[in-house]
Amino acid sequence: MKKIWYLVKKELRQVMRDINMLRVIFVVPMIQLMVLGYAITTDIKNIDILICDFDQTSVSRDLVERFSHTEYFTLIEAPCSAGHIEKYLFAGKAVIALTIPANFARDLKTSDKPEIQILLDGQNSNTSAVALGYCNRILLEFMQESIARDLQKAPQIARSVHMIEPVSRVWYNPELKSVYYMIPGIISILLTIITMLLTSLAIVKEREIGTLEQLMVTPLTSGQIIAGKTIPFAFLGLVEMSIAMTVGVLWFKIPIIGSLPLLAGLSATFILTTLGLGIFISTLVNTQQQALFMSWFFLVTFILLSGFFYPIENMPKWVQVITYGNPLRYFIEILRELFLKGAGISVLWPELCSLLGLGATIFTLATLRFHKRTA
Amino acid sequence: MINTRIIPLIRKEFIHIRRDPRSLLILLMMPLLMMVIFGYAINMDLKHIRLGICDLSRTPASRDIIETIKASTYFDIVARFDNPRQTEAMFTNRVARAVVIIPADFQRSLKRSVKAQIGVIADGTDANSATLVQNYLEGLFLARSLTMASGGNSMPVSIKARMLYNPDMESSIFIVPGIVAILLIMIGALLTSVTIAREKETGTMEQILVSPIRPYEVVLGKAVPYLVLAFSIALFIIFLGRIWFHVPMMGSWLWLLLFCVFYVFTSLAIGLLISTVVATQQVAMMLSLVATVLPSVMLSGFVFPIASMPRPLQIISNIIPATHFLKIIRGIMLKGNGLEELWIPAAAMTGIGIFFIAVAVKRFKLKL
Repeated sequence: MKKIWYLVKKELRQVMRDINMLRVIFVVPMIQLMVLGYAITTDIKNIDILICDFDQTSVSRDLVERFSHTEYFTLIEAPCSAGHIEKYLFAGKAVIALTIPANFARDLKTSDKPEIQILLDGQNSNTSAVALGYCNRILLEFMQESIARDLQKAPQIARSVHMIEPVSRVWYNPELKSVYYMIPGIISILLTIITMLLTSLAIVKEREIGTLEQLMVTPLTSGQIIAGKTIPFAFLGLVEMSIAMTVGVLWFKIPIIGSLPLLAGLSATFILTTLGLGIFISTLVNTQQQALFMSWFFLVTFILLSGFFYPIENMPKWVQVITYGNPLRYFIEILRELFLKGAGISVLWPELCSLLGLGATIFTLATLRFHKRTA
Repeated sequence: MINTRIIPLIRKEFIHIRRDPRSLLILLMMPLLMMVIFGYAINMDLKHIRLGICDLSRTPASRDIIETIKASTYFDIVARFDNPRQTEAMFTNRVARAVVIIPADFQRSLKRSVKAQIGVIADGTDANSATLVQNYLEGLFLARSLTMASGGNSMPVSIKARMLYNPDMESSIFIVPGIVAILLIMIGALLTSVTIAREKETGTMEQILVSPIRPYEVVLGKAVPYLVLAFSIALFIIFLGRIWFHVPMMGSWLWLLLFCVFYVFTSLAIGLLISTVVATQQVAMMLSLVATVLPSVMLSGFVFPIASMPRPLQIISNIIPATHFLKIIRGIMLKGNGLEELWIPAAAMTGIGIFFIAVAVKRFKLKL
């Protein structure tokens, strides 16, 4: 036990000695947290839209008004002429171009079904799809109200008309703040970087300078060396996580309803997998650069397949199966459920079991490989 | 002669790169992996949202609404229950992402009054999908009401939408040029700063500096090999994207390659700049990750649209070279833009590039 303690102390001292490293570990992630908390949203805002109103009646102007009143779109002022609308999209001046045909108001009145044309810059297909959804909704609302207006003029047909009005509520996050959903993701990524990357770097660095061999010839067992290499980064990771959570609570006002001891326990379980991966990576590579690339490779895969930005249900079945091997998937789920819903162990036990299983497997494999590699 | 001194330096660097096939392999695997994930696995448009339905009405009208929901591809009805109190259990047990509650008097109020209400409750833990769920359902109900109101067949206005530049809505077409931008900055900034830091760590930098080689020759000796490496990997990604994912190439190769070279220069300059600040490989890695790679991924419009960010971040995004390069490469490849449309981002990128190169050369001289 004492031997491990010395190793841990040495490792911590090595990290603490390097002021630049400390800055990078503690200050930069906070900035990232702040920036990313605001930057990442899959919702859209202020999308540039050009509306060509060839009708120029009060009805068409009312429709244009509706687009200018939402925060989703920013109206672009530009002269329109038929056939030249595409060039605005081509030049990147607008993302959407909506054309209201001439005689729109008249055709609407006589039920001649005027056609509204929407052109979208589809480069970013995801954003465009969301934007198109908002366009459609504004148009539908417009139609609904124009029908309602007609009804007022002709109350005798009102009886045959049915309108369904959804009354929406959102639980756990009534204002639909995306930070609530992003912060848990960012915290888990920070924790992964610290534990997986720094562990592998620390081991590989010793190998690069040759001090790992020196450690090996001491009476220390490889288990003790692994403990000495992982405990400091587990500690740093948890400290960093607490700081990030404090920022989340104080700055972003994210509620943490669930139990903190449970959170600590689950985080420790999660770290088991990332530390294990760190050791595993260190056995695969020879230089720090390779360790970095390898960790980065894992990290990107984990993030993209974790449900952080992209819901897992939308992925093809075979990819969904792969995500079961992704520890980040479980941890992000745990953080979200625990922070916002206050989920307890009775709900989160499947995640806990998966993490435990993954952690035990990865850690054992990594230790075995480490043993073989150094022996 | 400059050449006789620089060429051995360049050769030495190439030998370093060649001796490390694992790093090279990962550098090639990374874009491949991202292309595969974005091309096959990722789809932002939510489909198959798990929906719970609580039908208290049990009338033809309510069944009609349920049929409408079923018919849309957005929702999978995973649960039906009779007691609205069970809603909470739906969310805590993560059975459904949203719940629709049709009140008992639904059919009656549809007939009597102009408006009949339906309850929609979404799980806000995932704020983005909750927003989409609300939008989809509201749109669905609106559309249904409209078809009912206008005589049961169609809507009073027909909407015709067309997606330009990406008619099949493939995310890979959007992401492949983006991967080029990210990878170039990774190689330029990260690899360069790490190799220089390694020379400092092992003490070979001092050896180089006491030799008659001038600082700018050291810089060139470091920059040229990574320029070549970055450029070949960029070409590899572009070709692969063209062949495998059918990413179009609408514009001119000449402009594209020219801007690629310039962008690589800019990222190399950033890498050199970082290397003058740091002493160890670890710090160089962390700093280039956090200061260049992450902003290039998050704030450049690589995935998340800049227009939707708060104002201060939009301003910051302008000083990130990747922001401008992304406009250029996507403009050229997907739209066929020329210099006429792209001169603003091109000028901005050039300006940023020259600034970084100047600062890097100056600091490099001072530091060494």
